[in-house]
Amino acid sequence: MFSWTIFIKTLQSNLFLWMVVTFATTLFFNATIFAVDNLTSSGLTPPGDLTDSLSLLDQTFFSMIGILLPLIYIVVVSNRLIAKEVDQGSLAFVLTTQVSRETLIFTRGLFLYLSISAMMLILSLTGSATFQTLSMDVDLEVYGQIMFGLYALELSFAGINFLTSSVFNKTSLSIGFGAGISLGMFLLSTLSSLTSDLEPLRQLTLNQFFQVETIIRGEANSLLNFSILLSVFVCLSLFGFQIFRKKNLPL
Amino acid sequence: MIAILNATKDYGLKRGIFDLNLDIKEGVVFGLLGPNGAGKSTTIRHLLGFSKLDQGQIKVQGIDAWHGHTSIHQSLGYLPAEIAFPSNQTGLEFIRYMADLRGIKDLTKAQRLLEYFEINPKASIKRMSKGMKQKVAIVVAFMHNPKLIILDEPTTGLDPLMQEKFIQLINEEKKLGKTILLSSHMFTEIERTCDTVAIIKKGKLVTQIDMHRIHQHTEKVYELGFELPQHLETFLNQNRFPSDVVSNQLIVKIEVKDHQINDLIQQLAKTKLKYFKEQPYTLEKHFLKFYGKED
Repeated sequence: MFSWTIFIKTLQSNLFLWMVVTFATTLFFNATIFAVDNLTSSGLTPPGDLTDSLSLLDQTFFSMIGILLPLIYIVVVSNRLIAKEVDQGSLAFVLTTQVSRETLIFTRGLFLYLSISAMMLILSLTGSATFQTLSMDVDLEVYGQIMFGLYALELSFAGINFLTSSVFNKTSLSIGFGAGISLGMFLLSTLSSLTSDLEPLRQLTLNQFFQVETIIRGEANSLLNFSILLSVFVCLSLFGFQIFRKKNLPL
Repeated sequence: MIAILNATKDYGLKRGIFDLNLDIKEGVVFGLLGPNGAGKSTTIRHLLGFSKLDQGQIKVQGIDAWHGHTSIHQSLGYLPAEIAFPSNQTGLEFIRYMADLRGIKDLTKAQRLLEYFEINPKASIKRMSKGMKQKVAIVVAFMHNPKLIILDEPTTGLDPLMQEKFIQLINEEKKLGKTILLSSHMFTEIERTCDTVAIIKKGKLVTQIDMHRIHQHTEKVYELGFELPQHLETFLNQNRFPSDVVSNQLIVKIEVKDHQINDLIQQLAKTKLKYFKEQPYTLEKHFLKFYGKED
């Protein structure tokens, strides 16, 4: 079910993009923490009901760049892992060796999962280190919940994109549906936060299960929300796995 | 080695393969001949387990090609018609990657083939010409000494010199007892390598030919050219062989069996000819019996 050779090759092919996205996201996150620290320590009153550092980070990072940058990585890499190689025909070489379809898709799916996990772990640890370096007053348990929520949300998007990459034989369709659904949810969620009239739009998205302000206020059922997001990831990944195992490949 | 039994895959609009039956014996070089869209690549796709038949069955060494493709691939080499490598690597890196996937450590044969086809394996695949990529793919298909080799349009992109080398390679592998399935629309490579040829038309088997029959064809066609119309007329009045006059030209084509050759020479001795030549019976001629110009 697992091939080291395929895993290493997949890692080599995607390492540069992973490093760029991880570096950019981490840099932006930590720069935002510095900015928030400057704002709060200068004594300026934050707008609205933003009373603490995590609330400020929600508006500046967790609702926008924190979701978007890893999502771009997920869309591009998911497509590269399966659909792009089916579309180009290069998978014909690998699949005429002893490597089974199951081994190929399991190994590549595992790579996607591990690379997102590593990215989120680096993001969380550097953020936590910056909080401590700046001696900021942050509830680390709440911070941990937020970071795990972000991780679960990104995994659910990975499930969507992995599924579309497994189902479609054309890159255009894989990216069109994968990125379309994920970014569509992101946009609907962003729109819903603009006015209360648009609030119901959020119910159409997976982003409803990752609401930073409710986590901060202690109103969120994080266990349930994150379980839903992780279930979406697991179910869609398994569905993609099953489809790829049995589908006709135009190689 | 390969048994294709009533294989049907209907892609609609009369595309696919329909009730196809082929039996390919071990140690044979088997040609699949037909123009683009005849169903050659579809047959191969199912043989490799990439796609599932609507009806029928394909067995390789007794193993079902759809369910048991992983074990079939252990002793299989494949050269696809469209060469697409994963990008951002050199030819050598790709060969090593494929060797790792196949679990082979000894790259002696790969090295020998790289030299034979004059490939610079350190060049980036991205910068390689179509012919160079084709040659790298040929190395990958042969390097692990597979028992069964499937080649889909193998010489597309190769220059005439490399085509010649490729034909020599096939004939060497044939001597080693390999079973080779070669799909092509190029008559010369099939004629010079295959023992048996199946002609496919619109997804159906039209005929299967033993190439020895083509090489030892006992019925010859001769072309006779005449200087003057009256010479042609005189010949036609005396002629005892089946003939066909080329319209508006002073040319006749006659069909003569080998044992009738002396009769022909006696008849020609009495005829004023401009020229006389044999038209060899080729696979192409045999093929054109089944594929009219409208196809």
